[in-house]
Amino acid sequence: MHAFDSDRTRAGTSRRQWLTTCANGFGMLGLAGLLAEAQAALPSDDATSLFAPRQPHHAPQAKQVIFLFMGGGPSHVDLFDPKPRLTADHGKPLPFEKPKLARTTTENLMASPFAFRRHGESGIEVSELLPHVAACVDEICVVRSVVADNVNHSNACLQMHTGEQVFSRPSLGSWLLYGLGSENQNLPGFVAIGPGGQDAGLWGSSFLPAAYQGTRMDDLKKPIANLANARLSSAGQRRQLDLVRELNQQHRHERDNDSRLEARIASFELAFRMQVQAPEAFDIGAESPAVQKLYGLDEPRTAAFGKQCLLARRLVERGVRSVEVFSPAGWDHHTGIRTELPASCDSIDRPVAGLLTDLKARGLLDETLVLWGGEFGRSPVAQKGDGRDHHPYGFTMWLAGGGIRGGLVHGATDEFGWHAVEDKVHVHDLHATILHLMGIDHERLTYRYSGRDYRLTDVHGQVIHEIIA
Amino acid sequence: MNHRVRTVSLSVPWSRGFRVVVLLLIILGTISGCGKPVDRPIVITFPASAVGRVAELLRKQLDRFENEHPDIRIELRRTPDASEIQESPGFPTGCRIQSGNIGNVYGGYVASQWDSNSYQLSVISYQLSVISYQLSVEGDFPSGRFAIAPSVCSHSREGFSVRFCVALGLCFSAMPASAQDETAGAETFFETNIRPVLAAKCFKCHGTQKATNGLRVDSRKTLIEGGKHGPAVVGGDPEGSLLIRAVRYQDERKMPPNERLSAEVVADLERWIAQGAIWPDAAIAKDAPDAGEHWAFRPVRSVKIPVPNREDAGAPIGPSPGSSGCASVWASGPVDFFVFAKLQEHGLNPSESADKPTLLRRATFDLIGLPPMPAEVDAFLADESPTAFAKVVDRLLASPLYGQRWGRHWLDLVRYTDDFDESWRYRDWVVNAFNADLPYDQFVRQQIAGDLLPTSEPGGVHADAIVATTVLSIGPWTGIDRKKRLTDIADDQIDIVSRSFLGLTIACARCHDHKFDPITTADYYGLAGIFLSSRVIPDEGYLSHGTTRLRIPLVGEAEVERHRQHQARVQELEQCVQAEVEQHYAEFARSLLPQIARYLLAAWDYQHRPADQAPLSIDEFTTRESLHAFALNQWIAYLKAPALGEFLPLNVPERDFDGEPGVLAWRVRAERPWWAVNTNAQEVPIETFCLPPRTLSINPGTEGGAVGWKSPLTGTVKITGKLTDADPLDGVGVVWAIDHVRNRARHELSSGTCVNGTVKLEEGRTPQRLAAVEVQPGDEIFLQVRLRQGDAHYDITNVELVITALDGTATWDLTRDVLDSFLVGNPHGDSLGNRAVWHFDDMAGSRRLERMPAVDPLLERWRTASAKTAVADRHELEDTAREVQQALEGAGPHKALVDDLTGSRSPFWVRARDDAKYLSAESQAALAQLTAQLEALKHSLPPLPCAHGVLEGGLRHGLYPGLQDAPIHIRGSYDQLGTRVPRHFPAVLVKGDQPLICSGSGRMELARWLGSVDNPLTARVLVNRLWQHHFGEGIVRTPSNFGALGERPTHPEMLDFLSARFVESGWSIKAMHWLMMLSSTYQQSSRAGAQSLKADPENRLLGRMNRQRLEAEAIHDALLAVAGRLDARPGGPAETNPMSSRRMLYIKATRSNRSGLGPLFDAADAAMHVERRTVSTVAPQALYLMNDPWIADAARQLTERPDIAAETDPPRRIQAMYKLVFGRRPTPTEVELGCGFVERAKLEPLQREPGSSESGEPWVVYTQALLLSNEFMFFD
Repeated sequence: MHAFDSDRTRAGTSRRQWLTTCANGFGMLGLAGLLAEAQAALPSDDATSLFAPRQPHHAPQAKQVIFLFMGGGPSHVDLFDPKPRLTADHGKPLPFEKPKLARTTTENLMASPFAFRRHGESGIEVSELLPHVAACVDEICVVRSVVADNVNHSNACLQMHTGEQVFSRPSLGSWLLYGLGSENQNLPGFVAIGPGGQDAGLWGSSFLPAAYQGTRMDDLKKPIANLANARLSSAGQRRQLDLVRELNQQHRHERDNDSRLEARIASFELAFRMQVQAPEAFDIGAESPAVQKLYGLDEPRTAAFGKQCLLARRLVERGVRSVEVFSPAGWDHHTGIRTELPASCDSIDRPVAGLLTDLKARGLLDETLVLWGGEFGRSPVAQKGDGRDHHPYGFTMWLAGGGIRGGLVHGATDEFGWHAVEDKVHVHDLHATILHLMGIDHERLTYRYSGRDYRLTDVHGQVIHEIIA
Repeated sequence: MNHRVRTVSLSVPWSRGFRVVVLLLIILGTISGCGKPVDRPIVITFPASAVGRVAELLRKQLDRFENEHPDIRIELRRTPDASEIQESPGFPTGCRIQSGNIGNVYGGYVASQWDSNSYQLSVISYQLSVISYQLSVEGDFPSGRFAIAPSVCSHSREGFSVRFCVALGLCFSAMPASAQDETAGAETFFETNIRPVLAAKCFKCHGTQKATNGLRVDSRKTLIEGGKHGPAVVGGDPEGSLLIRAVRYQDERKMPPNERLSAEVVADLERWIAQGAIWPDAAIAKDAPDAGEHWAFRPVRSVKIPVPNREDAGAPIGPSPGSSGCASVWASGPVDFFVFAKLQEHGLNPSESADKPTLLRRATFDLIGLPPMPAEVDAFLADESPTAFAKVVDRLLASPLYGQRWGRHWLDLVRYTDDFDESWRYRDWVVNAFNADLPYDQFVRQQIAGDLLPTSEPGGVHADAIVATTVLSIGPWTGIDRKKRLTDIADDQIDIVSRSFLGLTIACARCHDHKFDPITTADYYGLAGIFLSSRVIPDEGYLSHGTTRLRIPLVGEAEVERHRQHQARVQELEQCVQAEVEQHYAEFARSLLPQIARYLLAAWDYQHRPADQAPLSIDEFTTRESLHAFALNQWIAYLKAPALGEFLPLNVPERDFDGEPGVLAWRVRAERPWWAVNTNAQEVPIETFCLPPRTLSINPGTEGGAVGWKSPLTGTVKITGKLTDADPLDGVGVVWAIDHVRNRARHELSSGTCVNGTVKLEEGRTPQRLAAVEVQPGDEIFLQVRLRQGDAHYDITNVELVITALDGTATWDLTRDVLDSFLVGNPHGDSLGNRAVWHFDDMAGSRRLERMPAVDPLLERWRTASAKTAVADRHELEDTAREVQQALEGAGPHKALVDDLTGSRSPFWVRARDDAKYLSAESQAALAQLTAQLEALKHSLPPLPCAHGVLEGGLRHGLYPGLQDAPIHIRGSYDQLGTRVPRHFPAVLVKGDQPLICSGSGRMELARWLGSVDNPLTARVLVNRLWQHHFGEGIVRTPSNFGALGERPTHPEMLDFLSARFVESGWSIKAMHWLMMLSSTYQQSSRAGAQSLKADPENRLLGRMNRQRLEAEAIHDALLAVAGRLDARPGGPAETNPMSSRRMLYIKATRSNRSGLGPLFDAADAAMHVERRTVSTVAPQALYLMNDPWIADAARQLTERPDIAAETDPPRRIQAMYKLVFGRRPTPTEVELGCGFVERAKLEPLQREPGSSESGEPWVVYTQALLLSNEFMFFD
């Protein structure tokens, strides 16, 4: 029994319809033949399907996740965590020992050059750099006390995505897909939009079956590889696949005990259907001009991220479980807080606000968890004049939608914005909370690999109940 | 020559502890001696180490055997050495035993005869690297006692070709009945009166959980070995046994502490010890879950091949046609008896044999990862001899393609990646090792300690073995925390070694004792000490971001020296070329000096160009003006540069700098520069650098530091001195410059760089200017030191600076002047009594860069004038420009500025390679010639072949330099240290026989132990992996976890049998392939009967073969193979073109790229240990096969193959295709289906644009359908 209504029609095809139209009534997109271990962890009514929706541990508050990832590490003290003391002590040395892993020069404290104003009914302070996001602040829970463990991009990014800093582990999206399956069998269940040169480990499935890895979509014009055949007409290809099916039926004779063979037959039927249906999901041009404008597609500086966000919405709308949107703008502001941070903010402000507004307008925000942030924040002290260095000791991320209490500030850093001091939220806690909102007990979502049960949060993680509605 | 070989298994009870089994390889000569009695004795050979312990008991067994078979004589001898074997009568002439392999000679060397049925036994015992088995029963064997599992062995090996026929498994029922009776009483007594007492009263403190005072009382061995206080039990001597004294409450140690045992119980214990403290081996041999110790940690047992029940023999058990219910008919090898026995237990039968095409396709994919080619299919179908399949296996094992397939299985385990320059050498080493059937114990040893293995010639290099250690160096660790990184490296190594070789997850014990297996953090750090006492990154790698790997030369010292000298010559020439280049540049700059007025004005004009010329680029502008664009650009920057800020004196004195007594420093803040002196007579190591005795050092910090000398005299001075990098492993080096300052006018005297070494100031750019500097009182000379690159933040440099008056009246030696009174003040006086001569400065905020313009009154005049001149008054500037030029031409007073303008800071200086085109033709020709010369020299010697690998000794600057034990890291954290743990191997596996680690890191000992029979896991784990790849599932289905959380073996006896056999075969992997593949179990059909499916859905009983999906590599390679364009060249650096036709093994696989065919079809993730591939079936795979042009191309190429294209008749063409693609003939229905498809396609085109279709297109579409089919993707 699924907690999710898997028969609901969302994008034209329900799971049940699909089941009945598929060859042999065999309803699965994927199958891992040797998944005894995987199935042992989470009971499923369809014991062989990789992507079939699975029953969560408890009633979920969110059904899908969009992670807006600001790779490089956006500056919390310039965006969401105003620090009057930093302004007052501008130019003075940091009054306490810096942590042992600080990377480079510790220069003097640097005030944010940007003004903060209170917004919305909640009156949460947001920097002038993000006026559109600020307008949505009542939907947002700003967590000002996130703590990560590594000052390096690569390791911190890995931790933010997999919980582990060095070695290969499955990413958050892969865990979600493994734990919950996907509601749309015609689209990949976990999509990474625009990761560019980021490490594949961020959306990798590691020891989980490879099918759970994120599908990378860099070229929004051709998001999924091999979705069309250059040579054969659709009818021609249908005839080719009919032949394949004939051959496979011959082959299955006396081999009917092997469900993998049947699954593979079904996968061709599904692929054929995907060719027709998936392009529709990626067709951003089908959106009305008003919606396109909402995401900032009308302006060159916001168009790139706007398209990514709009695609993200189209995907979650069609039941894709997990979408990560990588900001094409850089956030690694070792220099140019004054000049380059505004440009980065500008490129995402309207798209992010547009996404929140649009999700809300479509009634999707309630069931879609939106997460915004980077792998760490930036130091309250200056670097190379007007830059800031990496800073994992206390920084801001925010969540919205899917079960989150909007208009809330959770946790705090010290008066300089250096250390998280109140209600610290470790990356593991964040992961535990995301899983919780999706209906998963992070301690029970395990996978047996090489004789040991692994989980996203390793042996850590506390659900942050305070931020849950 | 043709022989039959027979293996006899003798089971001998030994030491009351466990059984020793000696397997004999006896070769039965079927030709020469048949029917003739020969009277040579049987000679049994076994490892020399066992001789003393086993001989006596063995002798008894053999006596008994001889009594029963009076016509057989058996003689015990020690293991012969290589020369003895070579000279023995049975040894093939012309063959030699490789020295060093003698340790692997087990079993065999027997020359003799067995009589009663007239077989000649001639025996041989050299290293059998390939042994194959097949059915062959000859003659009548002595009845009753023997189970016979006969086989044929064919053996081929380079150098000679002999075919042996090996028969297996004469199992002597070992234990004589009377001996059994003897011990039975004692065993019963132990089980009823002793064990329960020990278990109830003692195990809690002296057992698996805990061993108080080092004592465990849960085995006879540990009792006899005892603990801290000595042996607890002396067999036969209760009075001398501490155990008895303790339970009697006789001494101060009273056991059990809280509750004295009753007198009866004490008496039982006394009696037990008096009788020899018998501890029945059954307790060890029994595979019961609660037998006290986990099955996998017990020694490999000698296992008897199950004897089929006599009553059942010959009687068919099951109905399935073709298969036999009779073991002796069905079985072709020993494994079949184990499998059969298990099936029988469950009332099941094996499946019928697979048909020949299926078997050929299975074996070919299995061994070489490719489909059989039509000629091979034909040959196999035509061969009706009983050895036909053996020949196939033989051929496949001999193919170089075999290693490429099975090497990949190994690479999955060791997170192999092509990310590193030299990793391909390891990949090739693995492939070659499989192809050469490198004995697995050596395969293990070389990977762990190849660098330490003896070389074949003194002073030589064991290049292969060094390459093998690459496995330890290609982990995925990164990270800025260098200490944590070091422990991550060791963790990765422990993880890879323990999972891959031992099938254990020891890395779990990094932070806490293993939750499920008896592996403690002490065990973990015992191993960590070994790995931390070795290194895989160079010392500088530790200090930098640290992803560089060691590069270990693979050639001898002489060759390395040749490269070193070559490198030195290259460097020398480079320096010459550089000097020569600078000379040309200086000349060029001098030639432009007369144009200085034009450039000054042009710079002004360009910046003040009228609005209509605004878009004019500097190139266009200079072309118009006939000036050089680069020079004008540089002039604009030069003139724009702001005035210099002041250097600030360092103002914080610090004693005992960094806690080091006698080290004094001037500083400001942490990352700002500091100057320090070491007043000690010894060097002082601090972090990564070392302050030599009585020296002065600077850390230039991020913005540089300076030392200034304020002249107290009028005259001419000479400047000398040197800089030494005190921190050669870290940082990026420094740049230095010496300026002369008078009245705020500043000119550079010389400058240079210092990277990892010592440079004299006289070696800078313009040394002549240091030789004679005219000074007046108040003039200053600054030595400035700055980091070469901005993102570093320190590089400690030792500084010596001496200023000498040329008239010989005075010398200022910086070190001498300040060392002993450093902190008196800054500025500091000299030793002549002048005050404030030396001062130490922070350059922060001064904006003093390497190429700062000169500060000169003449230029200042121009700057001031040009700044305030309005466009309308431009003519006034022309006068000023002329004045500047005239002043410079006058030389004399402006010599310093002229020097600047012809030096490397000059705007006329050529900086970019492109700008060299402005040089004179002669200069360009001269420079081109020099460059060519340099390139020729560089390429005159090919690069030094190197491997990534491991070397002895922890990193010099790391947590544990050199060779040392590591402390326990509490909760895995390097800054919370517990007690130091001696380097050792997991206690549960070595059972107290810890090898001594006396010298070196312990890797050699670890390597020996891993690759030895003393280790209960190594052989089991590998044999299981081989089984897993042949059958789709292992005997243990968690192949890298044999611990408590792993699965139990489905056939534990068979696993032990195979493991023992593996060791006896000389750790020959190919011998195991034979044993497994020539079994009837392997040759079963994959089509199961309903009964088998229902009773055993997971096929744990092996009543059928498992169907397998092709792995990613096999899909890739098979497509290329059938398309006729597989490029099977072996080895070499990874192929970077993903569309290459080479085997996928050779196409570059990196950790960062997870796209393409490999990951789509579940290829191994190169960042982790992959014990078993998942098999997913998802739609993107189908999309790939349907739509990727690569597949369509393969289909087209297949149809264009000559052997296919030649068949013009459609049915015949389809037959040819089926043979090629599926290795079989098509059925009539299939032919019909294909013809129908192609016919229809000709009438109703399939293409998008029908007009463009070629006549062959329907065939291509048809062919692709074959490639898409399940039959192509799976083998039965």
